[in-house]
Amino acid sequence: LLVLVRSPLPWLRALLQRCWGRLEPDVFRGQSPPWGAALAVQGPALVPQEINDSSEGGAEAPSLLDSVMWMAAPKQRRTIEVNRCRRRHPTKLMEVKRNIDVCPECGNLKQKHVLCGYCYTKVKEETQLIRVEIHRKEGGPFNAPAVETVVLYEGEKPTEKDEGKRIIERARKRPSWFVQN
Amino acid sequence: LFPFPPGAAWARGLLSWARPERWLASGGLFPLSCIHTSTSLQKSVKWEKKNRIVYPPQLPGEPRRPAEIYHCRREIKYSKDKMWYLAKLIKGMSIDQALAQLQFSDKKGAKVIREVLLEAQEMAVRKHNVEFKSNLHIAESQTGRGRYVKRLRCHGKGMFGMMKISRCHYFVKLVEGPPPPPEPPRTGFDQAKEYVQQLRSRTLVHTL
Repeated sequence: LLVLVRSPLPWLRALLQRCWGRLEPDVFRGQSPPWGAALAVQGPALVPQEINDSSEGGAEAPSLLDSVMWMAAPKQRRTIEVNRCRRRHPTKLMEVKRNIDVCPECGNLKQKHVLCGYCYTKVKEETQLIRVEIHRKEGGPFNAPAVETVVLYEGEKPTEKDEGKRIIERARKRPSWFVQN
Repeated sequence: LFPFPPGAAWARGLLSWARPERWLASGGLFPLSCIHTSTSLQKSVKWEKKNRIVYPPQLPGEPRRPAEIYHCRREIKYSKDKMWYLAKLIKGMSIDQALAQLQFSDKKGAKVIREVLLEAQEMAVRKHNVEFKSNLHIAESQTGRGRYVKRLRCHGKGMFGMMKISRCHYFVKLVEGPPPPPEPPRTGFDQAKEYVQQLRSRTLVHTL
């Protein structure tokens, strides 16, 4: 504890002297009182057992703090300009698709490597109706015959090739895409 | 609404008192720039009003003004940042190309924007005197922030976080005519030419 006594203002010096006198009455009273009395030993008096306990206690707390210190965290807020540069970079923008064509059958748009959506839904609806007919003919589950099935539309008769096959009849004109064998 | 008397003289007389140079004579701030005419919670319908502007009839010699159609959809349940990528994709395209791109995009907002474009196309043909529905291109396409709602999101161990359920608006402006040709990218030669031009146009200041 250092005490600087030399002060230019006389009233301050007098005040300090009075304070110093009150604190240490048996010290020599002069212009410059000596430095502070005895040196105080700082820190607690450590017993060997207490050292171990304190060191164990001390080891746990720093490890937690160390792990918290090592976590990655942003130091500065990213400005909107920096954010915009990242979000609007050409690699992040959506690419214009060049694989879109026109379906030759129906005229709708289709991707080159994918079936035309319109034609696919058309076929799907027709097959759903054929399946309904099959279900009605079979009458229940596990009644599928062990023979092939032929679908015949209005005005069609079974040929010689369709001898032993199951015939499903649909009450409409044959669609252009369903070719008859 | 009181009837507007026709003629440019009336309009000039109306605007003669509203000369901004006189207000700025003292050198202070422009006074009307500090006035807010609406709060943040009020709904803004400026885009819908843009369809209502009526231009004066064109003179015989002027080139034909192309038709402009403004359309928007509000409070779409999608993020404005994700919607922005779609809006950026179709900016400057013809309407057919934009519809094709959106049809085969996997994003949720693509379906919404496709509906908006089809609605706008139909509006153009019915109300805005557009002859061919394919003769339109997208002049502007923008997204805006809708109303957000904060909700609790429960995590494990009793922890929770606040999440925000975001909505967005989508604005589109269709203009009649073929799409404008894309700007050629700026080359180094163009930049050098501009720099030299800038150096040449320098003048001497504070001299005789």
